[in-house]
Amino acid sequence: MSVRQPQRILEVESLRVEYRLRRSIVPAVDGVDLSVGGGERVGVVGESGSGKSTLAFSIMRLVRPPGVIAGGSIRLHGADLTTLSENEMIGVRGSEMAMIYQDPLTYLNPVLRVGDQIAESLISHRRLERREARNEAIRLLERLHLPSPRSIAEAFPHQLSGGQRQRIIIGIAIACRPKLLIADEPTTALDVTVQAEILKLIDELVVELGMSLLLISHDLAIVAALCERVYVMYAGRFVETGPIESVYRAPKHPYTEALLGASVTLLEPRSRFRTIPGAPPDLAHLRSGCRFADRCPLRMDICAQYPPAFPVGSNWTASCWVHADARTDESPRVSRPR
Amino acid sequence: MHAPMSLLELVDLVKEFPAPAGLLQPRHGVVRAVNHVSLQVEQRETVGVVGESGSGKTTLARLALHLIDPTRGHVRFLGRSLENLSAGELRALRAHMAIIFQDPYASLNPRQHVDYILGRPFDLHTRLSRREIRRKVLNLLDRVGLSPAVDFARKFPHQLSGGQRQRVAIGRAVALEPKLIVADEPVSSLDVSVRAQILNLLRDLQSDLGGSYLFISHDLSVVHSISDRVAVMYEGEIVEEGRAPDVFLNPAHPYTQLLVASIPEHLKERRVDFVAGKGDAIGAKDPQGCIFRLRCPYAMPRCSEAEPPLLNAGEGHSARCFLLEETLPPANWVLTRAWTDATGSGEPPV
Repeated sequence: MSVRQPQRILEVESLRVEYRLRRSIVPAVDGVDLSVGGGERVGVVGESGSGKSTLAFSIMRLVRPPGVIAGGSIRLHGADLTTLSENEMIGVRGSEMAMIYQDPLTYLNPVLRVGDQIAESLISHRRLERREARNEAIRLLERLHLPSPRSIAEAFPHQLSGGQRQRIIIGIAIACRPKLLIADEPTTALDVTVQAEILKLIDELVVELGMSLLLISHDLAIVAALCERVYVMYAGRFVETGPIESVYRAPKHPYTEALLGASVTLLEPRSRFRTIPGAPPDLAHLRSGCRFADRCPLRMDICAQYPPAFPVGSNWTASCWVHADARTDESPRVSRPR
Repeated sequence: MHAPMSLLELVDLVKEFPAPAGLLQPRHGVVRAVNHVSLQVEQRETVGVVGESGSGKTTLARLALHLIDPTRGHVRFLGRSLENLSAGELRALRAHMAIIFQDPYASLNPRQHVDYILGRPFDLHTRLSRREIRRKVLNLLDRVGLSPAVDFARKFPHQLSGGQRQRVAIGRAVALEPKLIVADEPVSSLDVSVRAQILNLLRDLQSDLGGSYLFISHDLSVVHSISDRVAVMYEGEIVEEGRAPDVFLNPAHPYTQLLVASIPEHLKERRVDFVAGKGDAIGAKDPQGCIFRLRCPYAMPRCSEAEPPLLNAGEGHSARCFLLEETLPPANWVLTRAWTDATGSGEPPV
């Protein structure tokens, strides 16, 4: 990887995204701060309903009503995306940042040949001639390790396998060499061997094109495979963020601890799985205070107030009152709940 | 019949389906979803079946319960061949078998209350009174962790979360305390924390009720944790079989090695050491020879001449690979991570 540029590509501050339903307002993302540096790979992990996909779509300004960006800022290279018009956003999407989606079939046009779909983004963003764009698309298909790129370019999406379609989506995303790549569960629908190939491809491309990566996933291992820093999301907020190594080895937030405890890995089978009692809160009827408190083995009285992000190490914070008094380097690891 | 009888015996099963005709190529012929599969499940044992989509594992699950007829081969349950039974005999035997499906949204009737769903097995297979059934149902709800049971009894499936629905499906499966439960991807649609609860529940029910599981999943980590023995399926065949730790920690078949190497672990020395197979193996199939050879980094001339049988790879461990017969397997052949660690490029060492 090239030398890390000091400046931040993406800075999200106090972002709030609401789904305004008839009877209630659901704050799916509720006061989230996130930054991605140049060339940095950052992951967001959370379970379903935690708001991680809403976050990704908001950054692309692709949340649709009843979803609304209700507050905060999203700065890309310093420019606040929340203030741009839809036309201006079209110029940003694809050329400065691009997204890979969970379900490639939904995001490919079923009646257009995939070569044309890649060419389209080259024509609109890089103003290439159609012929040039098509050739460039074929070069790109080759780069994506697709066998016989010329015939693939002529294919329609339904003629391709799941892994091939995801490669096409990746091709469309990187066609205009964006600085930031957002990947929302890019391998969820794929078989493990295909997943491994796609992750490897993303890894290569990020290095080769010097992109920054924001990877959204429910799978802790996938985030660890590609990223260097992680945000752990729970009920619309980040509860812990830090370098992957640190967070996974010695999680400081009880939720992170519980999530790691509940997941299984191949090399460490378990005869008994640790579970998290209860269920995440209903976002439409939130009480104040820590959102994990009802399920937390370490709950204290003070948890009735929402904890700020306490520093627990270098570049490492946890939003848990357990760390209120602890000094940075030696704050305790949260004890294993029984 | 000799001493301990297997609970379930799949004997040389073959299942063919008519090949789908393409839009432009109306084709005749068949797709062989399950190809000469033999597998036993003993009492109180959990046998895991892993494989990717299209490997035939779901077809195998349906064959095991005789929900579909095999094209060839036999299914024996407690020593009796299911295909020879009359409808009545089969129904009686069915009380000892149950299935849990992947999608608890699709497997529960949306118009039936939970108590009706859980009462059905008793209606069909027992002569219990309404009142006794009611008591059984409330018991079941408690047993699968849905309490207060009275509240859950009157709910519709759509009023439950995914995890709760799967608990209902499990409750229905264990209602009659069956000897065999076939679980087809039972936790694949669930979040990590819910998945852990359901796996614990399946474990507890097994130690309480003493049943066996045929546990089908694409998730190697889950299968490793829950199974005593494991069969790895590829293109309709079992390519490797053995005790779970032997298969996953010391895989003998190159396909199993590829699978294992494809799983990202939480923390690893190298960031990405994923293995590339030889492309998406589309249509990479040959009537002769080993089914994996076109993707296999160790393919030898003989691999295209004949199909390898299941060869011994250790005690109770076998794999369909000729390498097991070679006197000197490639130096680091058994080391799963060898493909990438040796070269760092994803190219297999040759």
